[in-house]
Amino acid sequence: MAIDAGTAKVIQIIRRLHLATEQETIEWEETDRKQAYAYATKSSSVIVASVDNDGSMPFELQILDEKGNVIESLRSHVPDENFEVTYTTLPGGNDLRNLYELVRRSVLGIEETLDQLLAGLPELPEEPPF
Amino acid sequence: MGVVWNALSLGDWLGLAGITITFVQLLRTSRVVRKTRAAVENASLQSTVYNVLVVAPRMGSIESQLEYAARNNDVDTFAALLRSYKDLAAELEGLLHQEQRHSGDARVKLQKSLAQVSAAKIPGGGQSVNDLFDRTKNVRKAVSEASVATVTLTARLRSDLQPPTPVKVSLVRRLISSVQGSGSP
Repeated sequence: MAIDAGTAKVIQIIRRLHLATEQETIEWEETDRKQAYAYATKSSSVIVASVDNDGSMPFELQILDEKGNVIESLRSHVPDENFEVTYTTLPGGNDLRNLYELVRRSVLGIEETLDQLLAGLPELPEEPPF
Repeated sequence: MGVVWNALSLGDWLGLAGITITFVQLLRTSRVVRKTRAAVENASLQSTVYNVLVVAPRMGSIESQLEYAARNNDVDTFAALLRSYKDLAAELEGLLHQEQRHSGDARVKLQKSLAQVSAAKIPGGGQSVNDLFDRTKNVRKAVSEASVATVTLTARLRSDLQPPTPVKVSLVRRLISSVQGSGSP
């Protein structure tokens, strides 16, 4: 599928947001909409969300300008025609799904919670070498 | 070398003098232009600051009205206030564009609040809810933080404001008289 220049740029932004989130150089925040998270700079902001507010695909990314207007948006998947339980992945869809999942884990502090849980549990006995 | 100087005619000397005078005038003009530009930029910045000082207090007012509407589960008023807030924040953001020194934190907080406003899911008109306060905690928090950042910014801007440079009366009089073509009083 051919990708226009605008979509290519948005996909580039999604990948860089993923990297920055992974490196913990940017901070996302929860919003009042369930399963939607926001990140803001001085002149723009980004919202990444699960379209149906259920935490699963399709996902959506919206880029807002300095006045809070949506200037770009991208969806990860569209439902297949006549059969709405399957989805077709759109360009950048997998990148967006990965970003959404990473952001969700980051905002909810899932890694920290898992680490704390692990710290309170006994170590497994070492497996014998083969 | 002396031969060269001796070979110059009166016309050549006058030409040289003319070039020198022109050069000096160019330097003086560029100096005046630089000073004028700096003065205009300063005046523009001061105008921005005054505009921010006028707009900023409305943020606090909307913030408190949002709290009141949320506590009373008044969905319609809350939605209308959010729209007003969005317009106000956009206006403030436009003004702060020109003020780069202190406005960084306030601009980020404004953007965060605008993102929260966009993401907020307010029930449609006419619907009654009994948990608007809980449903809107993130957007109200963001608006509150933006409001506090704006108050802090206005305090800093106010402390930076300098009184206008006093102009010497004699200079003004000389300027007026030269424009009017009359002698100095």
